[in-house]
Amino acid sequence: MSSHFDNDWTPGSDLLAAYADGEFEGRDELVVLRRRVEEWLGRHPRAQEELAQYRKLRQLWLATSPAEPSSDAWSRMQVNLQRLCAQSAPRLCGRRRAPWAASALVAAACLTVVITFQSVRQPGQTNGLPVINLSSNQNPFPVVGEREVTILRVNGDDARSVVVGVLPLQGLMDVAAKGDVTLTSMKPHGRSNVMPNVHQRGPDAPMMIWARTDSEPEK
Amino acid sequence: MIVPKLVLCMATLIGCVEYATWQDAPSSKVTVTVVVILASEEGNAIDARLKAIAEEVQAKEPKFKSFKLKSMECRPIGKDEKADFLTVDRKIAHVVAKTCAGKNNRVCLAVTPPELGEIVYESVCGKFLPIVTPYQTESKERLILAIRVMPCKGE
Repeated sequence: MSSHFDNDWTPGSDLLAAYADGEFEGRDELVVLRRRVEEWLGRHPRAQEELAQYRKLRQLWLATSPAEPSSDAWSRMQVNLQRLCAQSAPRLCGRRRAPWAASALVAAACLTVVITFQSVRQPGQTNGLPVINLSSNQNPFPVVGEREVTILRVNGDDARSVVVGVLPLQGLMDVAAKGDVTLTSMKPHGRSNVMPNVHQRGPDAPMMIWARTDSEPEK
Repeated sequence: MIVPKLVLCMATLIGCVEYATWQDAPSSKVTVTVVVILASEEGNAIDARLKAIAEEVQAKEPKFKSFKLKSMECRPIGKDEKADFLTVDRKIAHVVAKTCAGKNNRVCLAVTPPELGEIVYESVCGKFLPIVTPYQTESKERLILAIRVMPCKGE
């Protein structure tokens, strides 16, 4: 069978992908190009086989895609996220704000909503995809409250990234003063028998226990 | 390479111990909070949460210019129960909650900071006791521990 087209021509991967996705259908200006691709596929059985596998995979993908959440569900999600961000404003909105933290949270929330909706399917069509209509008392993305999580340990630099939860140290450190602490005993340590001292500038000043290094003079 | 001398102040390890009543309920626990602080002779950044400790440390040793909050940890401890708190460079601070004889609204702790002997004291709840240790990191940062106990009897 003679070909009207150049036998040395090879369609690029993007052209083949467009053909596989049906982007040539219904477009009169691409009729010649479509025929050229089809003619090339007729001469390359392996490419035809790969095309068939790709189309099969695409059908499988469409069949298992999660349902698109309704606009109402997205609106409720946005309200919850704004409320959550407002509660955590002192940590995320200070001088050392980590702007990426809010973006990462929104992205994680959106991804979780999409995955959650996979298990909730209802009839109805919007743009060819089923739509989930949640009732008003359904929360697709429940988030723990501020006091429902206790942080047991966190590095100092990471504390501002904690969105919810009670930190071991909240706010400024309240230091003990005279009368708040009574020493019972202290033992020396090491070869140099280092014995700490109690340091306090005044009766109302904070007190601390100070152990000098070998290079520090004894005061 | 000149290694600047950094002084590590170890703030007192304060365990916040949830101590309802030691005598009445031996199984009650207190919550011990340990804040690990590193003080350095370099820089000038002072963590806002450490302002009170920084002022006292600098009053005694002005060479300390910056104070960094390395980590914070909170753990429930039972009576005579020992808890290990990781500080820096795999150094461990040991804390044991004890009974304070005849004392209300106070908790007794036995604290063994890195490179120091045991320190036994009784403390009110909700306030940190800083302990400046002699330990220094490779960067010459001085280790300080701050310890708090929560809550006391009746709180």
